Amino acid sequence: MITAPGSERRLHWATLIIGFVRKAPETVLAIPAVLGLLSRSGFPAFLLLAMIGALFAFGMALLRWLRFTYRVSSDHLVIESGVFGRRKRSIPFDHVQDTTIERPLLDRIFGTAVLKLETASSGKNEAVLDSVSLSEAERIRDLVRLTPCSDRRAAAAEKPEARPLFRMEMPRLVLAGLFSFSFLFLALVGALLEVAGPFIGLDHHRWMLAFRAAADRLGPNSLAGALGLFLILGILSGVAQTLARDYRFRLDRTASGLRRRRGLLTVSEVVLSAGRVQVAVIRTGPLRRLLRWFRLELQTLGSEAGSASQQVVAPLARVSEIRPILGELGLHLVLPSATHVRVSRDFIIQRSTALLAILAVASGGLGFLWPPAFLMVILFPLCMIIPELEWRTQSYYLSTDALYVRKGVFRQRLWLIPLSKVQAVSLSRSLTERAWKLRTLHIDTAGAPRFGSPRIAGLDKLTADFLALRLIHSSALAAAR
Amino acid sequence: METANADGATSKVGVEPAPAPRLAAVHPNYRSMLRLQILFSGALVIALVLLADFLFVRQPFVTTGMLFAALGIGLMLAVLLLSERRYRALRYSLFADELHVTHGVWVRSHTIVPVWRIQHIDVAQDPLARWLGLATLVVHTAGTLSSSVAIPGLSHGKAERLRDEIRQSMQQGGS
Repeated sequence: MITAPGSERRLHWATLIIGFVRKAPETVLAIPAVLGLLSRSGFPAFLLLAMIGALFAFGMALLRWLRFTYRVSSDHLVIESGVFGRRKRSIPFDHVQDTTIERPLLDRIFGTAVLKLETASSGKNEAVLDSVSLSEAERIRDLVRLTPCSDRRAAAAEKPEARPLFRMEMPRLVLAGLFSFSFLFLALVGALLEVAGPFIGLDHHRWMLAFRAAADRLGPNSLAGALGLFLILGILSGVAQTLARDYRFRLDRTASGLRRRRGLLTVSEVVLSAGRVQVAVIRTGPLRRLLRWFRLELQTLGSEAGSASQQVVAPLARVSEIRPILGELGLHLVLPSATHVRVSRDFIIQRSTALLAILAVASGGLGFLWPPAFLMVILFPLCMIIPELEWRTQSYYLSTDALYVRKGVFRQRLWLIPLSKVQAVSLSRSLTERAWKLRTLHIDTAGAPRFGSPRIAGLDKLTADFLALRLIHSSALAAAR
Repeated sequence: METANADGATSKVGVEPAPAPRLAAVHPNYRSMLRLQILFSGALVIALVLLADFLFVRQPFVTTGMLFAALGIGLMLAVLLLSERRYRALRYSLFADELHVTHGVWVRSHTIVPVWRIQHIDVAQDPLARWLGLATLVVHTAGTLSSSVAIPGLSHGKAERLRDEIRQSMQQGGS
């Protein structure tokens, strides 16, 4: 299989079919359907347009395939692409931080795989070989691993270990599915049926009737029946989603960090190098907390902005299972207990005041326009209960090498922020916080989500200043080490 | 050069958490810039309201007069109060390898960026700023909330000097 360095290669021939099928919904169906509807001549026009669309799409796929070549040498990958404008891109292996092999359904049929190489922190210089044969993908991945990289520290291509760091067996998967129950997915499916139903020959009356018949079986002619059916469907869809995503979930240790494999139809493999992990987040919900189940996510640098940089490494795990994973990354878990510190009690009265003021303005303003809105005033006990709960559930702990922040009344999060990864800190004081001389400390890390990044509210001035400066100085020391 | 003594006085602070440094205000011309910005946006709003009034309201004399007066007063107050307060709230300092920036009238925030976290620095000037001899220093980090920390309203020379100072301490930190 190993070719002479520098010999030019094309993608696997199946790419033609895969690319065509993947684009088919728009080129063969959607665009001709819209144009066909507009032209008013109906089905024949649609057929003609669909055929033209198919020909055009296949032609484009063929052109793209012909014009896409790559060369692999022992230390870099050169990709030449572009149908009209040519682009030549060279990726030195010692700059590659992550390699991912993905196998969506179509690729599995043809025995091919999608290889992704990720380089700089921006994630822009990503090289994608979509698709090559599985053996070729593995060969390039191993070549990348053989090249030492300051970030990967991989000396040799490692063979998969017999014992994974963490895995999900069937019962655990189903349990995780039960917890991930949501109505959102159901709503999406419903909306999709509503829109696409007539196209695929599904009358929307028919499935409404089917739903009603099934609901009546649970509880004749009652709201309880419908709600019960919804609940069952919600749970089932949650389990199905989790199974599809996390089937055969397996986390292995590698020389450079962690490797995660999962998926039923699309098997994905992600390599996370330990050096790129910025923050660890342990999440749990009200029910899961009661049963002591947690979910571990890692915030890594380099992938696209937003949720893409949050990688789940343990969807549903015990603390005893999470500790070794964190240990692999050089992190030590300190659970919220006596060591954790609460913020000032003034936080409660400050938050209550702020919430009451918002409620007063909202109910007053809306009530002026629409009198029943005055009834919002009955929410005022919440303005005192919520801050109390917020105070109880928020805590933090500063160790010599990490900051721990816990937050969340219902859905709880515990952030582990290694001090060496702190990018910047910021202290803010709102109007009410100023009245009680309190501050909120925001801790900024690379790749943090725009909303929901760690912060500690309700710190007094002395503590806040101390924490801010300690974070900055310790991060300097840790970075120098 | 006149800033050298301020930095010299603070540079002996070591690893121990130190009291917050004394932060400097930006160039006084920044007030004029804020006032002009508020005037421009206020004028735009008034123009739109007047246009809507003129087009859709049957009795233009009373309504336009009232709206104009209310908006005019509001605008004057905003220009007078807000620009002064915003100018005063905006402070900065490069202090022992940390860049401190404070801003905000309602929610006051104080951001600390360690110099060794800075990835690149921009000095930007829009036409209005150029006319007033001002510039904005933008510091980029890998973070999200502080991915770009801006100090507007610096004199152009000061912005460039500050940029060079930051660059210098970035290099010192790297070696």
